[in-house]
Amino acid sequence: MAEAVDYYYIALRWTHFFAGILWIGLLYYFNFVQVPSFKELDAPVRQALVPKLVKRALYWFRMSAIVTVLVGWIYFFSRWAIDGYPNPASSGWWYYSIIAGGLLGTFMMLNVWGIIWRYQKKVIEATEGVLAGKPAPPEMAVWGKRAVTASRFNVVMSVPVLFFMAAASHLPLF
Amino acid sequence: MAWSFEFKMGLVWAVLITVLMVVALWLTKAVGNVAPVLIPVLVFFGFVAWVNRVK
Repeated sequence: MAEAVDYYYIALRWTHFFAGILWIGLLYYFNFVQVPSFKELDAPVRQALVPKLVKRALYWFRMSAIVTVLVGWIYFFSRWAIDGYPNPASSGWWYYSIIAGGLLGTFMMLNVWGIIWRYQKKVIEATEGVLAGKPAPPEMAVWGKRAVTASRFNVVMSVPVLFFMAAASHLPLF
Repeated sequence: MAWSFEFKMGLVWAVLITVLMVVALWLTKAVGNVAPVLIPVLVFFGFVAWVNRVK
């Protein structure tokens, strides 16, 4: 029979999964669909899509990233506290795996807010300026390159993150 | 996904940090505290410093 704490855990886990699916789904959309498609589009079409499509997608992307990571750490620290604050270094595979996945996922979230969004915000502002008749700043290509590099990093990093998250409860390696 | 500069460098840094995380986990078990996880954390900050200088 489920206890009160189990309902608390499942509410956190469901929220973590929901936000995580939204985040990683949008990450794969950007990398597998949008970036290659934009390379094939003419500049006026691309510029029209940036404030309408990219801006909206980036809103859900960065919000789902922060919710995923925050709720994940709330779940971890709740479980750690309810378990009686054991030393994570000697408390079994679940702690190793969840700390590894959680830290790598936190790196991804920091990339979203600290690099991808920071540079994409400049790209969006510059594109809106171009649409209003202002000249494009010369640094625009560099901003895009930095954001895409961090985004590629996150695509690769999502593979071990998902492994450690799934392995925490399903593959006790040591 | 083409093997662009962005893809190659993203791959290199992500694999490096993942490998260091596995090494840190092993060290965590060996030394009995979670201090070794600082290794990949520090390398990640190296990535952040590097990517902000990409031209």
